[in-house]
Amino acid sequence: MSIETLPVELFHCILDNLDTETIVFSVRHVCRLFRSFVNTYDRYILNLISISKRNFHLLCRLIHPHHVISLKLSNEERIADQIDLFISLIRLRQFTRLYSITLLDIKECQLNFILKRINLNLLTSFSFNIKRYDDRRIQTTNKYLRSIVSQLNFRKMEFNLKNERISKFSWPCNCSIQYLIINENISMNNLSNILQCSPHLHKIILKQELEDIITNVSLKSTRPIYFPQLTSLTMEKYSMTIGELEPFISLTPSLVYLKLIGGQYIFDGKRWEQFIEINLPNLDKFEFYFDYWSLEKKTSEDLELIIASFRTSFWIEHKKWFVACAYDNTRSNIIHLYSIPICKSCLNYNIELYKNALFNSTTIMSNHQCIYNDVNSLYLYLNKVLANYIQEKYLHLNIFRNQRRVKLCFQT
Amino acid sequence: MAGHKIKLQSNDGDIFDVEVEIAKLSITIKTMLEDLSMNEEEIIPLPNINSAIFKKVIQWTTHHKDDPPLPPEDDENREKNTNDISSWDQEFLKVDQGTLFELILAANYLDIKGLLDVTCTSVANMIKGKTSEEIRQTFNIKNDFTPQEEEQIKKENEWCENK
Repeated sequence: MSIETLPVELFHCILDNLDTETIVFSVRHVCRLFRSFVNTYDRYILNLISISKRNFHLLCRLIHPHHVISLKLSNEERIADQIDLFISLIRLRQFTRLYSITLLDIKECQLNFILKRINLNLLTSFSFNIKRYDDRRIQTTNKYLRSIVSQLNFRKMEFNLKNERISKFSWPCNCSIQYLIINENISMNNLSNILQCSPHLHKIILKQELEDIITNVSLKSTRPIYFPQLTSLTMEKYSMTIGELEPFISLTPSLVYLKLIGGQYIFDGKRWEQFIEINLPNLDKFEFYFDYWSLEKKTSEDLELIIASFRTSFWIEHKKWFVACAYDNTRSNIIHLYSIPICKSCLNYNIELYKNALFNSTTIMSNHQCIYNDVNSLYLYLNKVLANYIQEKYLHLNIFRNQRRVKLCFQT
Repeated sequence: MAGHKIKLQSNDGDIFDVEVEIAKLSITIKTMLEDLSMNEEEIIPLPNINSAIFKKVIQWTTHHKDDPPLPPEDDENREKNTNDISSWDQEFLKVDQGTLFELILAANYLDIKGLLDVTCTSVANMIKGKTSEEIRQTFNIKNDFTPQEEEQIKKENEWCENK
């Protein structure tokens, strides 16, 4: 039994796990059989972001648009005006089987040009990031977006529309979207409108701020509007006080997953415990990273007080949520409170900060390997303290198993 | 019902008593049991799988019987999945290439998506980062392109270098 005896459909299942460049430039040139298998492969995820100009041209020439199910384009710096170049090389109408499109740093005119020509009926996922808006095209853009979001099979959307643009977009009622990522500030009013039109929307990631939360009618109203469909909420840049955050999160009683990253003082474990017990009975995973800048310098006693409120049976035994609290000796105004493993994707690794952290449980911290799994971008400050720590503790960079980018900063 | 067993027969005649819940991870067997209303004494033949491979399949399904359902496939998952082989699966898949390809065939015949995914991912990982020649060496494949075809490939790859 050898790879050459596999039927073509199983060979294609193997190709599903390979990037387009490997398939086209390596596998296709192995032998005649592989070439014929590759020539009939029709599930390409054509990701043209961060590839060389040479490969960009080759892929545009060698892959038939009809064989592509997912397309990713970007006007990035490596290939200037990549999207215009792509439009000039490819007949867009031949993309008849796309279920996913990602268009980054696109001009609004290019967005409309592409959406007019590509078959949108099969789309389940659409991501776009407009670099240059053109207000003359609002109506056309909204028409295409509405057409996409109204599709029965549409599931996932990521966008960076500004608040005023979202306000002018009439979200279709009962749309089937399940997963939404918003890369721009959004007002509570706009978010509330989207949720009211999307009964299946169960996962939201807010990469920027949620604005005007207190002035929102649903919060001020005697009969607030709840969003029981939402089971997963991530706020990566929240800036609310606990007094604003609690009424908002209490509108989402079905949350199973909550992730908060921000710079407000929400350090009272007892208050969180009571709030979660009353308002979020299904919450199974709570991840957070709070760094708060205080006017007063903090001491280790302050840290002890904070972490003590997370040492109850609710946190350690019932939920098994492990928490650490730390401050930098040299800049003791800033306190960090975070769940473990660290949930930030981008981390400034300050050894002074993390080596003196206090934990809510003594049993969890012996194994560093579990702490940094989510970190994919790492900033390391190379100084004597780190060098000594590496020598003492055998700290290896492979504890950050998923990092894709490491920035080394030399300190004297 | 936990503990309840059925009999499954490989193509070389061996009969295996397998818990129903584990056997039902195979959609093929699940469909047979439900559509044909087979009773527990009947032996279900599996004409496409030999004993050695079926033992491996049972080992895999037993270990994964309590796994949560697989998430719906999208390109994000597809990209992520490529590196995600658990340490248990990595150990399980330390087999010769022939066994690995037979496992792919068995997973496909029995319709066990999780096993098919992980075996295909494992083969893909043997291909990643390799040139065509390295892939030939890995899988012992003969280069059967004619010199003219080789020249054509070379031209194809150089197509836009002068642009």
